[in-house]
Amino acid sequence: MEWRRTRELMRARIVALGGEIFADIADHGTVTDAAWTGFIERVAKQLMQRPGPASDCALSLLGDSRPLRQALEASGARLMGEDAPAIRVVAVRRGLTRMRNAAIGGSEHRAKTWGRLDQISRSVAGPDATNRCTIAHFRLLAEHLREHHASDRNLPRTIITIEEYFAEFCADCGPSALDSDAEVERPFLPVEADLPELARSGRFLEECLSQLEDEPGSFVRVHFKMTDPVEFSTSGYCQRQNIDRRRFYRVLEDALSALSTCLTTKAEGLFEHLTGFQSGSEQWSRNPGN
Amino acid sequence: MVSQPWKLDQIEREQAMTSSRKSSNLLAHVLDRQIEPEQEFDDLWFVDAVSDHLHGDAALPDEVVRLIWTSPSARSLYQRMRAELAREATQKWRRHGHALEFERRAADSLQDSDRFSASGVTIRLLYSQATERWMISLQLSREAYEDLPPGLNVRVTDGGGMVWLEGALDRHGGLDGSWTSDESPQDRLRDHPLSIDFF
Repeated sequence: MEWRRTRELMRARIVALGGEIFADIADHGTVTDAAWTGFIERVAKQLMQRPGPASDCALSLLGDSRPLRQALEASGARLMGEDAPAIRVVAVRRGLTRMRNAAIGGSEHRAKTWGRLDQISRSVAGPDATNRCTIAHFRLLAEHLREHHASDRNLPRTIITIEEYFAEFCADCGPSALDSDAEVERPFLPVEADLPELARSGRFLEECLSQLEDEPGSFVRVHFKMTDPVEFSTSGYCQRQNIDRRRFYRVLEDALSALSTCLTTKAEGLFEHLTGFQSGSEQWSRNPGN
Repeated sequence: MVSQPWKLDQIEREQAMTSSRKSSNLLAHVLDRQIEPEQEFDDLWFVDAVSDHLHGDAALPDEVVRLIWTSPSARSLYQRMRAELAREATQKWRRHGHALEFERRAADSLQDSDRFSASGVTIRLLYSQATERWMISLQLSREAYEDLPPGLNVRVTDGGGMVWLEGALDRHGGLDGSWTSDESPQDRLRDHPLSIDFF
């Protein structure tokens, strides 16, 4: 989870600061070395403003940012297309994961760990197992590793980290997301019927939207088709209103980040009554298995 | 009984749901920009709690609901567990011969009050003169119902992508809803077959 936190800290800054870079890549397929270096320096400066283990890790990764640049260049014109907000996030995450993998010794080191993990996984699953790419198997494996390999720091210990290894190396899990530049998944939404309080989020979101200034608020409504009548395309709207699309997406991304912070604060407020109650996860964070 | 101040009453929920549906794509993007909280959680404990909920009648503990709301990693695990369970249930239904698809209907076979059945599944359409609305109900046979883990939801969709019904089954294997489209269900049925999936 530590990696995911680092990745998301970097993703937030890169997407927020990358407007010109995304536009240059969309227009020309690439960026100049000078523009790229200047961009990475701006990202580093922002990360330095919030010191901590995740920022330190992020800064060390920026030493070789080529995988990120390649991932963005692979997305090309789609970085400024109708799905730009989703495409940018996916491309940046993919590039950052490749940077991380390169920094920790590349696939050679991870492949070595995978070799051992694969062996243990097979013994845990038994000879008849047909598909090991399931959370149920990762759970068994995590429990086994905590019990029988507690002192081996090279092996993963959490379900989430084990899942990352399987996604990267195990054929049962299908093609690795890191190898594909095409897919853009719709971000996950919890099931309404299962989490009825999700309904409240609609109201929370409206409240958070109303706190945005006029322009970012209307850009969000336009892009997510919440206007009446509905705007059929962001580019059509920009053309009609004479708005530079680079500016549109910059303002939109800032607005989405602000909405994310606002909604998270409101969601945390819903669960204030849990404060002081020692939950399973709190007990674990005092004595983590990894 | 632990108090759950975040729970809504029925009317509040329906009003908020309508608003939530309109903005669900935005909500998904906003949640996707959440940063993982600094405090890690025990994913073994989390997976066990979600599994108890999906396979039985246990409610999700408040702490699990909080994590699903505030941690992208927890959400991703939760999503994957649901998807895996839905896949297993679909395979089980196929093995046991329960219907997952309904044929397109001939125009002259459609009536104002209609009922069509296939192995293990019955769908009823009823036009209420009083409310001037179509009502839809799904009823599973006991065998089909027992082949579904209690935590899964059911969705009836037509070939054109319109969702007819979705949600949790009641304890008798039924699910009801009202028609919300301007097009009549008869018109849709003429052009599209219906299918059932789980989520």
